[in-house]
Amino acid sequence: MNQFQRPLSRREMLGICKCGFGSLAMLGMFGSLLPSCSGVEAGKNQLLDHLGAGPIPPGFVPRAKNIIFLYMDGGISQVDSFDPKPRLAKENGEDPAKKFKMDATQFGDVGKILKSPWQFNRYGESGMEISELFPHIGTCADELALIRSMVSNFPEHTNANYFLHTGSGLQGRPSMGAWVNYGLGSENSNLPGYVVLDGGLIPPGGLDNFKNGFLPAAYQASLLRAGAEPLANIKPLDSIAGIQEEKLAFLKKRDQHLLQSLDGNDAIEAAISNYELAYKMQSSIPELTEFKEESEATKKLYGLDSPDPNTRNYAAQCLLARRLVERGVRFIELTCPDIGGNADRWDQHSNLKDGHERNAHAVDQPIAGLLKDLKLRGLLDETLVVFSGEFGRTPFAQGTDGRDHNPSAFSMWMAGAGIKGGTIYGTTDEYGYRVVDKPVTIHDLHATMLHLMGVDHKQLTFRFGGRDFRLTDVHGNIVKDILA
Amino acid sequence: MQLNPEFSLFVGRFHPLLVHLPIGLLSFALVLHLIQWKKKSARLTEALTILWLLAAVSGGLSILTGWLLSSGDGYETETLERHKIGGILVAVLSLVVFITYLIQGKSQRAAFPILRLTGIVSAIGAMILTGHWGGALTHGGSYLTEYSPFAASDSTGPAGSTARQIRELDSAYLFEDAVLPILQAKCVSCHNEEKTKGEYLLTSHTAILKGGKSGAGVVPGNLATSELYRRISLPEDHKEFMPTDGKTPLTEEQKAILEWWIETGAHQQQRVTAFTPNAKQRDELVRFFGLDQQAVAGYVAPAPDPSAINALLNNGYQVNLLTRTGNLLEVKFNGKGSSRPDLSLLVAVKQQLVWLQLENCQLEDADLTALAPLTSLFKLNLNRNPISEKGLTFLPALTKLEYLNLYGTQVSEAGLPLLTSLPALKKLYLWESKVDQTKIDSSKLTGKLELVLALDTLVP
Repeated sequence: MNQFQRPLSRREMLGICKCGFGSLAMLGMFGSLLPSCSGVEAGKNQLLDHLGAGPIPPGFVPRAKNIIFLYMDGGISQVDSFDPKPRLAKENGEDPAKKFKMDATQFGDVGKILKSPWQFNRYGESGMEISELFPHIGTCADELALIRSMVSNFPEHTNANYFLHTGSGLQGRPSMGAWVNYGLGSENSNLPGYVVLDGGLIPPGGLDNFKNGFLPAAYQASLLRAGAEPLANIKPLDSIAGIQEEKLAFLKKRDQHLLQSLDGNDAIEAAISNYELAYKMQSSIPELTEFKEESEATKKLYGLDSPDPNTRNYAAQCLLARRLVERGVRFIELTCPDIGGNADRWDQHSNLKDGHERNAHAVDQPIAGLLKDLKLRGLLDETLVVFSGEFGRTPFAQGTDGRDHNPSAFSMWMAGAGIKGGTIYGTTDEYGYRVVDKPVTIHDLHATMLHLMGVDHKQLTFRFGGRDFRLTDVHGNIVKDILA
Repeated sequence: MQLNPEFSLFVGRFHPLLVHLPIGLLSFALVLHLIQWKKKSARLTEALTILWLLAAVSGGLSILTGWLLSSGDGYETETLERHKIGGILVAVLSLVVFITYLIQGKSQRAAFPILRLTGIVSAIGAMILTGHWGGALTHGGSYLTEYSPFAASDSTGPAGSTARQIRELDSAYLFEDAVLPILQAKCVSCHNEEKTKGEYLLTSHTAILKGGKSGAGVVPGNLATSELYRRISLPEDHKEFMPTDGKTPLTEEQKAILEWWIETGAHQQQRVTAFTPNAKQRDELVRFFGLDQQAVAGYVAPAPDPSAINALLNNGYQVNLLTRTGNLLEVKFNGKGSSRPDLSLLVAVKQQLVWLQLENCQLEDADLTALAPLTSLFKLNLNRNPISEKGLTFLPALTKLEYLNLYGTQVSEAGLPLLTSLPALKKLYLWESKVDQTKIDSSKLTGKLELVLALDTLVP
């Protein structure tokens, strides 16, 4: 077997002088307590040793154990969904330039003030006003903490997506799911800790929205597609079961050998754990995506029997999300279904009525079903559900029947673990164009999400390029008023 | 001299800065006098002459600025009067002492030695008293002794906190335990007996209702005409917003409690529960009294026995550390409907175990007695096990239990009296159990318990 032996490279030699893969998160969390690499090993909590390579315990008792992020790709219009503005109806068709100062828009095709084509109804004990686009979500109003004062820094999809997902408008930073995964680890050794359920549309900016950035590769999202084969090569290729096992055992032995000769190496450790996880997923994924143990009533609750194929698609993703939560996956993001036609995600630069209506119909019942199903099973108590786009839309028309991008104000909501249901936070002006009270930035949102997971956003750091990086950079205030 | 009021206040606010000059100068003069007690020195006498002159001049300036400051209202008049007289006395006496030095000139013999000695002693005495009264004006009379170890501990004075620890929502009074402590924290530093800004006193029920210069403080049952509520609910940048001067405003929660108190009649002696709070108000009160924090957050367990944890891990349990400190454990066993956990292993970590999840483990009634020693549990999942209310008799031992998940079990409404009597229970999940919704006596359910039964009870 000597042909597998080879001399050390300079880089590997240097690597031996540093620490192994497993201590990275420890360093981030306990960096201030444990000054040197060797100190990390020596100072590790005895209990942690006995818990093996399990998750890193959070700083305080967490309210949430999992996050389901319902990503409303394209920028849902706040004045048509969660932020009613009667003044738009009164001044419908008037010239917005005479009413307020306008920022430049993406397409510059500024039309008249455009009233919402939808009525708003009051829901729940809280009397929260939600548009008739979301009759099902409306029935869950008392579970929601609605933030009407979100602001973003970018008026364009790609940057705004990176900003929402990674806390930076530029490509290449770790996604919030990767940070959570890095900070807390997966509770399930058979599934990755960060899963993106791909409904059919990868958001602008591509997979970099879900990447690990400078964090170790194991923390990036695993993408599960809707359909028969959610993951490539999930069915074993070897027809005889034992053969695959033998092959893997041999590979592992060789890798271990190499690892020993290098006295630990990030890349090899990551590769070994990836192989192991991939093998385990060949059995865990088919079990996960089979819905046969779900009752008809549950499937109906999500809308799996809907005549609308997009509703069925999103319903399957939502049900899958609940099943992932049950299996201890930390961070699950759902992307939007591809509803086809001329409606590109929620990005209705024209045909607002048709596009928003079809998008809303696809997600409304499945999301309400998810909230109710989680509630019934006692899971909403430990799961944070987040519903957000990357920015909002203008209260005036683009052309005659669309709306352009608006990062100065948009609405989003959270529900579940640690959230004070029936809360409305922040206010926009009478047109819903700008935030006038209690603005909430993306950094604030991230800080709040991490807080609910029991992680102090200021302490979750990773040293890269000579600097300790955080998901919230140097920003972020927890939105305390929406917390239970 | 006619100054516009804003300018006079601007100058006046230099008073707290200037008053420390005469204090320092006089203290220094006292030191020099003590040095000169036995051995006279011409050099020291020269220095003292200048010191007393400077003390008189800076004292005069302090009087001037103090006068201007007192034109802004809100100071307790009696103390203010004493402070004024004391301050004038300090300056005048300093001048007198200086004059005796002036008359003495180069001579070795002191002029009017008795007058000088009296002047020195009384100037310094007056300075100490005046300084104290000034402090009382700014910080309130009890500021100095509030944290004194000799102070009476059951003090109910204006600065002594009246908030008592509430353990049960039912035992709390709305005014005494919620409204008054809020006002204490946010308002009383300017609206007390000594410093009554706007002539509004916020230390007693009668005074709060009565109001001050701007009219009635609180009109029972009427938010709109209650000046107190109007002031705290204005936009923060409004001129009349309270608390003013950049002090911390009331939180939404605190405002909600005041609002609720006024709306329900602003009573003085009524228990919180007498107003039949709805679920949301109940939540707010629970948070206000910190009742939600009392369960797990403050609990710290001793470090667990490593061999006990190993035994759990080796028997198919999943063990998670819930916090970095505190040694609180979450233990899970997912039987997936086929394997059964060995419950006897759990006793070894009973002090650390706060969350236990035993979903779908084929547990039966007889197995559950093994859970009785786990008294630290605050969250327990027994969902989807073939158990009935007969197996739940161990539950009263779990006095900290807040969350109990029994969905998908055989528990029927016969188990409800036991379940609803659990002292700490807040959430009870009974979906797809044998509980018949129509047979639930809703009057027996207390407001603090959230019962999740079926879909239609979720949707209002």
